[in-house]
Amino acid sequence: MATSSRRRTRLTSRTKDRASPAWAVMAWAVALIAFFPVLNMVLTGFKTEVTAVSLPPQLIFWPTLENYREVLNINFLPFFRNSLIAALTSTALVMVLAIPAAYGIALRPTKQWKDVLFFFISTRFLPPAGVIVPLFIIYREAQLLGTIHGLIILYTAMNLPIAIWMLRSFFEEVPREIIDAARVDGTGPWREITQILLPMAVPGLVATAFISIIFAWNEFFFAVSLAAIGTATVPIFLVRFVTSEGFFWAKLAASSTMAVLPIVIVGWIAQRQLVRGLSMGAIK
Amino acid sequence: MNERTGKRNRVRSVALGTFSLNRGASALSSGWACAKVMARSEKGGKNGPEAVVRPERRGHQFDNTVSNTGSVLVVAIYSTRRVPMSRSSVALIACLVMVVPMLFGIAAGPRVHAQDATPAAMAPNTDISGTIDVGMVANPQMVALQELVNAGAFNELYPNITVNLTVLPENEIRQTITQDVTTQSGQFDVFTIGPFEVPLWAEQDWLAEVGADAAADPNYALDDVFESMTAGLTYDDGLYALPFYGESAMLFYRTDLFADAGLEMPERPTWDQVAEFAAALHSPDDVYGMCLRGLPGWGEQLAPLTTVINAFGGRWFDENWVAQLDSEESAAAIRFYIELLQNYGPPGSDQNGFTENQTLFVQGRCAMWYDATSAAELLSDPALNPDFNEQLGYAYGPSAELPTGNWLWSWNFAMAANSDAPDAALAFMLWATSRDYVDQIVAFDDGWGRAPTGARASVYDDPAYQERASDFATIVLNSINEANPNQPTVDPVPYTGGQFVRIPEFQQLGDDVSREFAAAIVGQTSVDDAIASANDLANQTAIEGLYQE
Repeated sequence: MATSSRRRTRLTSRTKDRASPAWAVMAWAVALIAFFPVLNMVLTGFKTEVTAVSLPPQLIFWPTLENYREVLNINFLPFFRNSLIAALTSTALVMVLAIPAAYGIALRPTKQWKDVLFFFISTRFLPPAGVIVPLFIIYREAQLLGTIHGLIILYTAMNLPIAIWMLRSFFEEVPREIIDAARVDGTGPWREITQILLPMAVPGLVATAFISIIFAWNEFFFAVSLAAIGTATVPIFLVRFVTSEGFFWAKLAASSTMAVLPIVIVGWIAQRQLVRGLSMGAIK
Repeated sequence: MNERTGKRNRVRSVALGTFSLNRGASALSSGWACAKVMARSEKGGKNGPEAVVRPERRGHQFDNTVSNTGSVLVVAIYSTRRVPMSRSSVALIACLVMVVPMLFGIAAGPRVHAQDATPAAMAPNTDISGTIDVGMVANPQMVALQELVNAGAFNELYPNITVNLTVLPENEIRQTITQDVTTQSGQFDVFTIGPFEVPLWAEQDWLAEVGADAAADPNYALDDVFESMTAGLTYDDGLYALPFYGESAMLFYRTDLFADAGLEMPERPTWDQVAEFAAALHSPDDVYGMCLRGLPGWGEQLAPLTTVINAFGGRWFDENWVAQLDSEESAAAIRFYIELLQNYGPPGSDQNGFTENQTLFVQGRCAMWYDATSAAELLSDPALNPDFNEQLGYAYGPSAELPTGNWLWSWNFAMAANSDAPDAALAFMLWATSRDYVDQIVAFDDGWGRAPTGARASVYDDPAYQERASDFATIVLNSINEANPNQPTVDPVPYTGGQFVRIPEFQQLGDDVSREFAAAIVGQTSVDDAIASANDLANQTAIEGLYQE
């Protein structure tokens, strides 16, 4: 407790300092450099295939919607629907499973809680390529190949360790005094979680859910190996424009722009919570 | 091949980049017009940093969030409600208003276009029914096929067959199909496949024989399909795949540069002549003398390089499966190829595959380019090559000891032996590889750009195609007919294949060997060392695969 209150003082005093113009210029420069690839992707989506590969890259050009027309020529909605279902359902499952787990580790730790935490993250040590063949066989036998259920199970398993880790650190920051006070008043674990812990950790919950959605939305390897036939997701829609014969950059940029839009929109909606959740001291 | 994965990763990192954009600060997002508005309204809504914690809001928050635990969207929407002024919502709605019509409005365009498809010539066949899953490589010809299927052209003929198409880039579809077929999972009924795999897979009983049915169908005219193509798809006298489109190799050059330099390209040049031309035309700041693939990968760099080895009289293995890459002829060919790129090629040739060289040529940076004949369709298209399509010259693939390097590739449709709807699968394959299909897609596109060529002789008799492809059609036709991948080399070899060695291990061997050569192209190793290591790798493969006694 002492450490966290000291950290809080330090943070508050730092935020009160006005940043120097030099820092502002640098922040802008870094921001623009970081943003440029995205800007270039959006711009390229409005170029013709030939303009897209011209050197030096043209920043001023006559925009065309031809790429979007070609991209939308293929029905985007099934891909979109599959991604949406996989990302949202798996995230909901992740949250339902991760909240009690994180609560247990953060607020009612057992003796070996560090080992438990390490075990969770260790499930992500093995590279996906290392498990794909056994997974494929298991999925084939379980008739999960090309099904949305198969993807949801995988994405839940994939995001659960990260969610537990994140939520644990968010729950740790909830002042113990409040929880202790509630316990003195006779609150059980259920009310403790639902009425005290979760409302105080909303930014953390949003950040965790958002990361889980993003990971599931962008996941390519499992989707292409296990679900490409039947329940293809948005990343699979994206790469279909990559051809070994002919130009594809503009079409790829157009479809990529479309693929990131939902995430950008969700990010915008949750922006305030996210910035708080992803920066330090989310609870304060 | 690796380059494809790289591109895919780039796409994904772009997506993640957008995420970190949100994570950062409003300064980041202000690059975007919409974001700018949002950021401003955010600023306007808050009263400085202390606005972040508001006890009365938090109390209010308690009740709402409890019932919504885990429901991201509700929390998310709720959180926007908490922004005092709805300027950010206005901006968001404005952005949506801009985006949504773009998504759906444009989609209406091509659907009108789809109605132009030629009506079916035959009466609908209702006898055959079933659902088939088809896997295809994402090349323009297949994308066109997909659009035609989606427009209903196939169902006009076979109303009771449902076709599900999966289209992926070459590496991904190869992996998906291989995984499906080798584990006998039976997800795909029909898939695109190259001549490299067909005999190997047929030998494993993974493919269904389709030649008898194709020959029995008088409308199909199997004898119209190039014999050189079907030869590579045959195993034990059975035909196990039907060619969709095919290619050999040829040389593309810039007629204006040749005229300016007073050079004349013979119709059938030799590699020595090509080297002389490259030396004469090379001016590094402007135009590179010769463009060739250097990108590692058995299907990238090694395709042209193996045909040069063949032409020079070299070979990968002798009849006893002893590696011959360090033989006099093979080594001379490899050295010639690498030095041509080092002396007269673009910088960073080890990163250039088909697409990169096509880009360079369209940009006017290549005086000559030796590659697949399918590039002719792309380079001669004014929409894809606006500046140099008029100055484009064509010649036969260069010769040395052999008149041709025996490059021959086709994308074919094959049927999985365990397909649960073989009749429907066969009907689809016969339709997609028929002569009628070519006419349908030409009518659909109102042009030949995405029509499958190089598989059927009758396409080359079509006056409309002759008019479109008059400059290169004869060269393509003759190159395909002259290529003999079943006897690709001067000296006898125990394998078949023009620009590859048809053994299952070649994909790995080829990738490894081409990495050695790429290192030599950029000067990381000497050419001699690269050839020695490549030869060792080839011997190792032959021993481990129990080919060598």
